[in-house]
Amino acid sequence: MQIEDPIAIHMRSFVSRYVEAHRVEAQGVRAELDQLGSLLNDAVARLSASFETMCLLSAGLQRVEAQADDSAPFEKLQGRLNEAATALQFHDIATQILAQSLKRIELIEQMTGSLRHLPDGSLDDLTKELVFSTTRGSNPVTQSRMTVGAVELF
Amino acid sequence: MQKTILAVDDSPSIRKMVQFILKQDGYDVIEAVDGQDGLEKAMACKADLVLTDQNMPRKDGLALIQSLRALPQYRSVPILMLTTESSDEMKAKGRAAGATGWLVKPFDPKRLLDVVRKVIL
Repeated sequence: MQIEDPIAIHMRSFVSRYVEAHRVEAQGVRAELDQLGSLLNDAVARLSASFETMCLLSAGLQRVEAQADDSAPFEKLQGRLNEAATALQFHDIATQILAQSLKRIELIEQMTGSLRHLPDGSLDDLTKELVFSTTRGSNPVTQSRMTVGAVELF
Repeated sequence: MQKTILAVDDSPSIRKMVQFILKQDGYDVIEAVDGQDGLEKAMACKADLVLTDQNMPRKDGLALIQSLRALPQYRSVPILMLTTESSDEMKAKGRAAGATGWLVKPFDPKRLLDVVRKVIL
């Protein structure tokens, strides 16, 4: 009968507690990201509805001003709508960052999940099991502010 | 004659913005929710320009461009990438796939219109 290394037993116990703590935290982060996504979708739906109304009002204003021969208020409103059209793109950008964060959480869960059932054996066996490879997903978003992006024609 | 633009993006807010901006300038805009939908709609109509996102479910932007360039009717139609991706590597891939240009989000409505007017046939 093989006598197990006491350090390996201790390490297995430590890793087990560590994994459980990670699992709980990852679950919490996932729930918060989901909550953030819901809030974001709700806010953008409301902003988009307001935006559409403003677009309709803008078209009406343009017709009125054409008769009054004064296009200044319309141009001002149109300028603001253009700014809103740029700013509202934060939804797409933020959604992609959220999706990337969820992928990372999934990866952490996989990594910790693989540590849940550590093999019996020597410290060497345990160490081998703990050295696992990870693949990192790259974030498709580099923007950190809502400044206008570059344009390149090939 | 009114020009038709096919806007392919999985984000409803981006499609809405693109629609708003291009319609102001008199373009007819057809929306597609991902690359696969974009390809199907492109085959059903003859768009004068295609605007596409890169990261989308089912078929991404690069795959869509490759599929479109394989169709005789889309060999010379301008295709613009409209994406959050801004790395040189991705741009090179886009160029190799047959993209006409690369616009990084967030885009400014006026600049988008300038580019569209410049490239549309």
